[in-house]
Order: sequence, then structure tokens, then C-alpha cells
Amino acid sequence: MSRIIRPRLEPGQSIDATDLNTRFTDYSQSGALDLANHAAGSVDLPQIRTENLITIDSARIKLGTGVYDHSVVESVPSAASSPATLYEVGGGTTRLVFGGSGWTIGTGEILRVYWDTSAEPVISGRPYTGNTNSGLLAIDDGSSGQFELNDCLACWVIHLEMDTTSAGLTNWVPVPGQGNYQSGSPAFENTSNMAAQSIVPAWLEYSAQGNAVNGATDARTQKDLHWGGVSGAYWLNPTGSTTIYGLRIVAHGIYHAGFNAANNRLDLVTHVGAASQKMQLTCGQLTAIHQRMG
Amino acid sequence: MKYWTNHQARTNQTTEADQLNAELRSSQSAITTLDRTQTPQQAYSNTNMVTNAVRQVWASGGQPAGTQGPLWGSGTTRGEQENIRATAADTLATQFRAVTYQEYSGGWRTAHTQTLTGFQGGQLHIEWAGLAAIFPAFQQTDNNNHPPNQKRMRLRISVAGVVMAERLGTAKSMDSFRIFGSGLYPQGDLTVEYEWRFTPAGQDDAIVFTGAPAAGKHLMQAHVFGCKVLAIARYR
Repeated sequence: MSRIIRPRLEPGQSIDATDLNTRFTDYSQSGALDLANHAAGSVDLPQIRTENLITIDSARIKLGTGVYDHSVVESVPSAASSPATLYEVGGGTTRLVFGGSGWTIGTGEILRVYWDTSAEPVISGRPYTGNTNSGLLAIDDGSSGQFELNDCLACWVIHLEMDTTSAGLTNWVPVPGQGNYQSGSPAFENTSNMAAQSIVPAWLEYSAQGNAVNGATDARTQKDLHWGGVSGAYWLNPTGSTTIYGLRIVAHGIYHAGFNAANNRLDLVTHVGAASQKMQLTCGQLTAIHQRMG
Repeated sequence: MKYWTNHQARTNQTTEADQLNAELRSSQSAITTLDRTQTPQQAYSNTNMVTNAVRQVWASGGQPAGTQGPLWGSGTTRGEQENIRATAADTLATQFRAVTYQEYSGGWRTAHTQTLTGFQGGQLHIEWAGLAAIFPAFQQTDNNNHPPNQKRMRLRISVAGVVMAERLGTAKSMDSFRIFGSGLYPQGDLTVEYEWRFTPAGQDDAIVFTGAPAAGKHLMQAHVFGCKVLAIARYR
């Protein structure tokens, strides 16, 4: 609708019925009211329909064992062959399920996903000893020799998957921007494909001596890693509509940093694979929020 | 909405100017500019409000064709800091091509810059999530006890050159992080910088691989990768 800008009539000015009716017609336009018809401050919270204005859907579930105090744990064994088996955190009972119609994330909308859990890497001995792919470093011992130290760039991976096929939830795939470490020999994933993952260090060791001046000889000390919090985040704003029926978190490992002349990546290491080399998990939360971007 | 309070002029009717002016005055506030009492409750929703009227979101990534996901940047280094990147020839095959002490001596580096185009002024919330790696082995050696040289990947978010949020740093050898903050900012296109700073070398740090099979290669000290950022504005 437009503003009425016809000038007012002055006393003594001639006018006939046509002029008069024209003026009344000014007030009966068919167009809707628009911004020009609203006084400053005319729209406040009571005028706004707040439900679904910003957040369209939200869901949250307890992820993992359901027990926070480490009295109940689930164990993820380290892979002894490639590729690693993807272990679903919570064993399939702690997925986020979006119902028969799923959530449709449209253009101009965003899906925000957050997860957290508690993890403890468990390593028995130094199963990575002597293996270059696990991060073996030769460090100057100050006596024209070297001592072995590990770079500790090994980790477990926890990543997000979705099902966009049906509410049956039998076709899980990694979310856009995330790989599932199922290709390559040994399996690997480039860092450019790690949009929805958390990592947990697999082992740790220090050296009290570090250079030739000190004449160190095999001065490393291995440290046990204990329970610690781990969290992750992901968001998706698709260029076309995407319907998602569920989300789940999977864990797997052990991987080590690598570079292949083009890409930084995480490579699976299988020689440490054994039941005693594992990651334990307890409980956390998996949360999803479907919102408008504007 | 108000109704006509006087009467409609008819053909050949005698009239005067103030008759019309009175009608104009009585109707003007109702039709030309609605005030708060005349605007119906719950009349406005996302279907009839302009985009970004009450909020606005900027997220990294999304291209090409929505398959990339939220990682910043493009190509093989998507989601990574690229400020300090050792040469490929100096990089061990079992480490990241990233920060070495041969190329990094300290200081803040801006890994990613994001412009919040069209920010209308109001509350701003920013999240930065990613992964970090550090080489921890020599942070507390015999020579570093006064004090130890704690290895940390410090992170901070700066908005228009002013720090919004800062984290002391990731301290695990392989770690995930999420740093977020919020504040009130004035209207205008805002520049957000996502910055990192790693602990400089201590007295005992090893910086090269010695012996077989890769003598002379530089040791990776730190890296930031798998990064995505999200900014959410709330307007009133």
C-alpha cells in the first residue's frame, strides 16, 4: 500500500463529487499494508508469532552408556585390519531419531549438531615401538646416536553419521564434509574431509632430555592417559533441501598423522590392534537444532 | 483498523472542505501509519517478515553444491591453518605438513577471516570448532623446569580487531576444540578473525629427525585443522 500524498483541501477551494470520491478511493486500495504504513515501534514481541520463528526443530538424547560416573563403560577395540570397523556409540540405542517424515533442512536453514562424551584411551605397553607409521622418531642422543621417541600424533576418531534414505535407519553415511575412513590401504581420510569429527589422543610420552648437549639416552617416559571430556560440533546449511531421518555417532581407531605429498591425513595403524589397546567411553549427549538462518 | 466515521459524498451533494479534512484526520493514523495498538497480535512471522529481520547467520563452507560441509577454505587444505606450512620436502610422511620451529618463532596468526556482511547491530554469537595437534614430548625437560615450556595451541576470536573470546589452548597431543563467545556490536559489516598462537621453542626442543630413514626432515610441532565457524546475530 502507498502513502496518500494528495494535498488537503483549503476552505473556499472549489470541489465536486468526483474529486471527493477520488479522495475516498485513496483509502480503499486493494494492496496490502506495507512498511510505509507502520509507525515506528509499531511491531513488538506481541505482534510477532514467536513459535518456529527461529528454531524449527530441536532434539536431544543421552549418548552412550547412560551412566556418567565411569561405573559402566563401552569399549572400542583398536583395529587389527583395514579398514577399521565403525563402532556405534551406544550400540544403536542412543541415536537421534527424527520420526517418519524426518527433518527437511531447506535452503536458508541450518542444522546445528553438538555431541560430547567421556573417553579414556587404554594402551598396554608400547605397542607402537619401532614402527615408523605410528610416529617413531629418531632423536639425537648427544653421543652420535639416536634414541627412539614417539611423536604422539596418534588418535581415536569419533564422527557423525546420518541417514537420508528412510526412517528405517539402515543406510548410514557420513555427513557432508566428513569421510568414514573406509578407503585406502591402509584406510585413511584427508584432513580436508574432517568436518564432523572429534579426536582423542591414543598415547602419550615425554622426554626429560631433549638435545645433544644433555647427552640423553633413551630418556622417554610413557604417561597413562585417563578419562577426559571430548566434544564435537557440526553444522550444515545445504544449497538444496535435505531430509535427514536420524543421526548417530561412531568411534574407531587408531590413526596417525600423515602426509602424502599432497594432503595431510590420518592413516589407520593396525599393528597395535588388540583387545588390550582400546578406547573406553561412558556417557554424554547428542543434540541437534534445526533453525532458520535469517 | 478504523471504519469511516462521517459519510461518503454523493453526486450533486453540497459539501465543504472541512467535511473531507475531518475524515482524513480521523482515518490518517489508522491507515497510513499503524501504531502499536492497531497492529494485530501475532500477525508477523517468518513468512511475512523480511529475511534477517530478527536474526542473521553466517557459516563457513557450503560450496560446491553443499557437499563440502562447513569447513572453511577450499581444496586440499580445506579447514586447515595455512599460515605456517613446512615445505613438502621437509615434511615427514608420518606427520602433518604444518608448523615447524624452523618456520615459526611465535606470535598470533590469522587462520581465517570472515566478513559479516549486513550486520545490523545487536547481539553477536560466534563459534569456532576444529581439531589441533601438538608435539608434546619436550615441554618439561630438565632444562625447562624454571618454568616448564608448556605446549599449548592458543586460540582466539577477534571482532573488528577486538578480542571477543580467547582460550588458553589445547594441551593434548591430538585434541578437539570449540571456542565461542558473544557480545554487543554496532551496525556495519564486521570483520571476524580466527587466530592461533603456539608456544615458541624451549631450550630442549628437538626440531629435526635424525638417523634413518628420514634424517634432516623437520619435526612438526603443531597444527590446526578440521575448522568451521558459525556466527549468529540477534537484532532488536
